[in-house]
Amino acid sequence: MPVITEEIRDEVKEIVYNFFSEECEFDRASINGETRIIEDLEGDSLMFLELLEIFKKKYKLDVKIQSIGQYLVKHPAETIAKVIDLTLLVIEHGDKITELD
Amino acid sequence: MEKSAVSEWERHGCIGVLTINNPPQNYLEGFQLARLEDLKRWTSDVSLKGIIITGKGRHFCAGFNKEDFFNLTDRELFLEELKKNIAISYYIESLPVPVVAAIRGVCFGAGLELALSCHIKVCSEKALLSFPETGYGIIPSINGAIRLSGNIGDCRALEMVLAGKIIHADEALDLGIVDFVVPSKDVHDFALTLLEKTVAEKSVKVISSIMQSVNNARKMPFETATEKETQMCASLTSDAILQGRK
Repeated sequence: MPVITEEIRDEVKEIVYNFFSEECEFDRASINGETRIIEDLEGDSLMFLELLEIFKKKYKLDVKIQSIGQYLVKHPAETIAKVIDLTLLVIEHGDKITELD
Repeated sequence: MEKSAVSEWERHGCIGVLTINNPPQNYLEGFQLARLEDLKRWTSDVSLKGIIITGKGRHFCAGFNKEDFFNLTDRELFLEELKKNIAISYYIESLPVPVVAAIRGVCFGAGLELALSCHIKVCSEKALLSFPETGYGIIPSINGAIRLSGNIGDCRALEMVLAGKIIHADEALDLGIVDFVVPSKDVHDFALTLLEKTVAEKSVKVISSIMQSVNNARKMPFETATEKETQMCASLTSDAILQGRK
């Protein structure tokens, strides 16, 4: 699993912002860390799955959806900032994300 | 526009569009895409030359609602519901007009089975296809694994179904699960243009003969399918001569 560098952090942020801007047809400049995926962008629960697939491909991650699901039950990712944080945790820990509190 | 279960039906000239309208995930709530009798009524129009099946909003269809699946504890009722869906999949693949699945976003489980029963699959570049059933201790229920292994071979189908692997659009194209990959915003227009270019100028009889030939190829021995095709060709030739067309 890669160590999270500033470069990876910026890359993840860029991809997440662009993804939600394109998919929800929302001006990128009007999206910020506090923007709520479902309420503000009219997104849906499957979007994180789509986003995760982009990162799995990009960083060659081998992570089970079930592990992420388990983590999400305890730590819902309702905002853009939380999605970015979750993505970085997935990149860093993979399936071991379930072992994090 | 007409409605049945989670589906809506509308016409664009000679093309019919069936939209799964249960956003955002477009689950097949209550186990049903549409009532078969409604589907038959909609598609029995003699001026119909092609059909697009699509999903409302960002996704094609995330399959059955898991709650429906596990809450229906009466085994007979459960089987009855599945058989209704199997009848719909047979009906779609046997239609006398080409059916295009216009896939965006997620196409999972029964949604993918529905897409596999269509003759042509157009897919957005970000679409994801999967049979996640084994993760819940079940298997695809509307001949999904059967159709998939017929399409891509046992090895790839087993890998995809047993592992519940999520397939990206580009991989789905390489494997031959889908036929075209286009930008997300173009999926519907591409499907419509493709159909219009293919069927608009053709007679209903020519279209239905070709469709019957294609369907016969799947279901009949080669010689029988060839004989049927020859008969249809002879009938069309007679029609053309009568109409003075050469």
